[in-house]
Amino acid sequence: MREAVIDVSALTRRFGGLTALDSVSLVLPRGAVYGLVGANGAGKTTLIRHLLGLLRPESGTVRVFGLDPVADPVGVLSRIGYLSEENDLPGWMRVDELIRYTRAFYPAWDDGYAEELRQTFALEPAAKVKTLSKGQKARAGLLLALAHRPELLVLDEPSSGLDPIVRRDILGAVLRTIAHEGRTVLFSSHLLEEVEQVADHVTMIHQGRIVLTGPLAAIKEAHRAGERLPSLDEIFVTRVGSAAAPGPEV
Amino acid sequence: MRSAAGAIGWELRQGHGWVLIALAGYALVLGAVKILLPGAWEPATTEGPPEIAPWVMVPFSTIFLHFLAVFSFGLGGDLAARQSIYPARLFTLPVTTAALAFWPMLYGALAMASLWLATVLLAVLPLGLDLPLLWPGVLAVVFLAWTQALMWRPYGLKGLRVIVAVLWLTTLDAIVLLALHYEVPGRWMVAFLAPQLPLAYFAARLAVARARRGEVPDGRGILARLGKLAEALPRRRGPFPSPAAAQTWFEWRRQGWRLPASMALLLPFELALLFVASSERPGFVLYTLLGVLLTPPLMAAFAATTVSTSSPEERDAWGVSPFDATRPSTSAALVGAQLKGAMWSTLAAWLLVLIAIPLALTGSATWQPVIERTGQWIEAEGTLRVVASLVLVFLALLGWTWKQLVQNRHLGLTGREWLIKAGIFFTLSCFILIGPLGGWILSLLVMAMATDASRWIAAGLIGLKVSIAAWIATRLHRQRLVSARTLVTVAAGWLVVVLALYRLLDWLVTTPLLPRYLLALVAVLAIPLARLSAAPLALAGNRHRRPARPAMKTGKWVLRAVLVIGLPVVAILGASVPFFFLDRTTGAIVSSGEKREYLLHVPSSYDRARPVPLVISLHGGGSWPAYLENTSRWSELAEEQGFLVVYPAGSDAPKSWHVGRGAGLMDDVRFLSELIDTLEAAYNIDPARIYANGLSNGAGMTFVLSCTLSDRIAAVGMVAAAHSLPWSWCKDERPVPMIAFHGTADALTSYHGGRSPAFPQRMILPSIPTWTANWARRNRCGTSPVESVVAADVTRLEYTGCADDAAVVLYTVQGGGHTWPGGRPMPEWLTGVTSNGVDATRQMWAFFREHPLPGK
Repeated sequence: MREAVIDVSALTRRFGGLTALDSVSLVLPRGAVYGLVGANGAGKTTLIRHLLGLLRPESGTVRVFGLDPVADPVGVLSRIGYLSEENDLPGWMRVDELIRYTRAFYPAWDDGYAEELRQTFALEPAAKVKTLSKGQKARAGLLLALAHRPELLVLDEPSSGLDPIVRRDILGAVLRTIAHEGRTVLFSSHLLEEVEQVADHVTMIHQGRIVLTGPLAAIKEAHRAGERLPSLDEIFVTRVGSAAAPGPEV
Repeated sequence: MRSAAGAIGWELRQGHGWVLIALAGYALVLGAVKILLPGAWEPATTEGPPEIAPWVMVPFSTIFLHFLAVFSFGLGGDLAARQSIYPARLFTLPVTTAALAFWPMLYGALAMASLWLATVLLAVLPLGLDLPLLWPGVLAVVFLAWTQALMWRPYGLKGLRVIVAVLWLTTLDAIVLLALHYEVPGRWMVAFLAPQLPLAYFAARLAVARARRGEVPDGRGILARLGKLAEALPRRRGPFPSPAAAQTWFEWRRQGWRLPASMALLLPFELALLFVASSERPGFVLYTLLGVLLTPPLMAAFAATTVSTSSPEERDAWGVSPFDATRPSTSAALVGAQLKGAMWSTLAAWLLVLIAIPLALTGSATWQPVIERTGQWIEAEGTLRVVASLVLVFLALLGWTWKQLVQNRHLGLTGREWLIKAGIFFTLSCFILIGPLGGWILSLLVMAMATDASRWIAAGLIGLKVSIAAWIATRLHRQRLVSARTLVTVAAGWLVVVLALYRLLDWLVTTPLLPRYLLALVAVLAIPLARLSAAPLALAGNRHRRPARPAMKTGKWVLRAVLVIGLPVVAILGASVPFFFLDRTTGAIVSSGEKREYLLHVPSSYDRARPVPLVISLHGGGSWPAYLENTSRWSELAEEQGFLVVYPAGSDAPKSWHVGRGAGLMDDVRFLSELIDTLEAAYNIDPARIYANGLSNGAGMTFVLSCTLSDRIAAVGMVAAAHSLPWSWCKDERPVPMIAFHGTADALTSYHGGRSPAFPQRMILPSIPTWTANWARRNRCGTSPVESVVAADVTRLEYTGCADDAAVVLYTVQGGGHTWPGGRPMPEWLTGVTSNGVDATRQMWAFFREHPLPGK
């Protein structure tokens, strides 16, 4: 078996009376695109925040690259590229300042690649971040997450910020390349179709519990009904019931 | 909530309950002050408001500002933006534009009117302030109406709103001030102000209408052209050498520039005062410069409170934003960058000050007083000392500014809202308490020093700081936030700096008033350690959030905040318990409209049928009756010899006798005279045998009594006298027998006279032998006094052959300090040696017995 990039065991986390993660265990080996799916509030973002060390486990352990992200933030974070759901890049920075600032933290930063991404994403160097549109901000965030060629790329709900073109062409192509290079991608989404297109493995999370995890093909095979392979959407409805079926964000 | 009016009213009410809570808390503090210091509510003089008035009025003006912000929607919008700050979401409601403008204006006007009504009922009338009752209220309403109109208008350029609003409202203010100056009657003021309300309403309605239609004028063309010019400048910069350098740049750009920017805005106004001052008013020039030098630390304290928020978009506005939290840096490195960024802020702000001051002094031709004062100082202290002091003061100001910027970062970095708000409230309540309670706190300090408790307090404070730092260090080490090596280096560095500062202070501070251990305390407390090292701990806790406890209820939040606000009050109350215990008095009378206290000792042998002598003993400056009773042991002797002794209390905090040319002196004389009346009415006192004596400032007062009540007081005694009035002040020529005791090693009131070390600017003390000779001349004694040795360290000088047998005696104690010979020793570091060669109390009593008032 390949070395595990992410190793979570028996992770539990409550916020007040709400149980966000309930004894979650998850081992993700290197070199694949993992889709984390679930309805809004299922616990996807909480799980990702634990991986980044932004939350201290209440019980259970979290290991990324075999390291504890709370105890060793430098060791873990310098090997991760992260695009947050909030996309809270400092508004006062210009795009070129943002690039210059961020590259200082990552020894593996690839200037050529960063410039290539900037041109592909059509980001004006002199533009202030706060003047960018939501989609452009997401592209800038993606640039920062990609340009140091991280071993693990974590995208929290990228679809909520990226427009359909970026989503289909760029994101799909980029994620594929990363996986082919032996690196790992973990992305969360409530849009099951999109996950179906991009991910090799799917982890389904519902009310803080993992209900399903495995290679996409194997999951579909297991849920085969007659001749036709079911869609992820249909599988989701069978597993967690139609009441919890994810839909577009309101 | 069926109507638009109701909805808008509800919206304006939301989330401002804390203002009422804060106001209630403040009222509690004021109530405590009123109970503890009842005198503060009465006017100190017959003219003018009582000193407490500003402290009562301040919260009302704060709420005035708060109302301006709330009712103009200024709290939710970006003041500098071109767009209207009227909330755009209201534009889509099915309501007319007129209603959108009208309701917030009406609610605002009602709120302002009620605020003024409350001010009148709670402050103006009870305090008897001389303020008109109607038009200030109308002014408040008009002021708000114009603020609303100007805030809701869209503008062509960013920041224009602020400039226009400031100019317009200042003009309105200026007109009102001019009217006040020319004493325009109140009805004219109302006639000027009231018609502005409809004007402001129409302006506001127009503003909301334009904003609703999205008509935002665009004046950015000019700026864009300027921007092009800036683009042409070369701005290619290489990569940062390290993550730390990048993060420091980030901190500087995010918040570091604020302090220098605010200094750049303030300095021109402050230094403009120099141009008004001119060289003829040297005091004004020096005070202006002092103000300028104190501005950076004060602004830093102000700036530091505004930097806690990290990202308003974040759900938890006080938390670390994911962008910051996912920096691949340790928490210690992130804090280090903040400290460094603050250092650059400090340096930039002070660079501005250092450039601006000489320019302003040259431009306004006001160098003269500065050069003169420095010259005097160099003459008195020597060049090396002055240069060293200046360098030290400058470094201290730099350090202080930086400390103000960083010392409370740990609170902001925890990301806990209640902690941050409580911290701000705590600082505010300390500021507020310093005003009315400052004198009282000072007298507690003096008392602590006089009773030697200050040693324990100093040791306690140092111990507290070091143990908190040690606890934080173990936490830092256990959580592996900082390496053991760094911890040891920081601790060693801190120790070296503290020792160096102590040595420097030891060399610079020459006054005997400050013991060395207080200097050590200053050195230990001045160099930051505990709170700074708490910052990485706080950031780590915020960055890697622990499981949250169940959400805190509002009640709990309020409880905690009240606890923290109440802490200074409780601390002061706690400290004052021993104060009340020690400062024992037995009675009080009202004199000159003030309550005056005294401590009376009646001997157990007292018999109403037999007249007894009365001894009045006056305490020293900053001391109190019970302390003098303890030191002088007059009560023990009174018990033994069967006379009454009374220890009256001086006034103010710290307590003192107003031996100077002010009005307070005659109040003190009247009090003592009325006290004699009161005691004579209650006890059978022999009118020929009333004597006065005192220590230090009390002895100075005794001299005053010999010149003002010489028909009632038979003889006087003085120990370590502080004569702050000149001999020529005394116009009374009646001989009064006098006995004095003075040590040659008295550091506070020198035997040979000269500047008082306590008030070198104001007080020049006479030589004691000369003073005694003057007294002998007053009593028309012979010119050749008799000198005798009474103990190894004590000589006695007596002028004989005086008129009315009014002898003059001086006991000189070789090596004696500012102490009561033969009495209970005072702390030796403060007052010097207490001799036992002579018992001042008994000698005085023997002298008094021989000198009853002639003719009674």
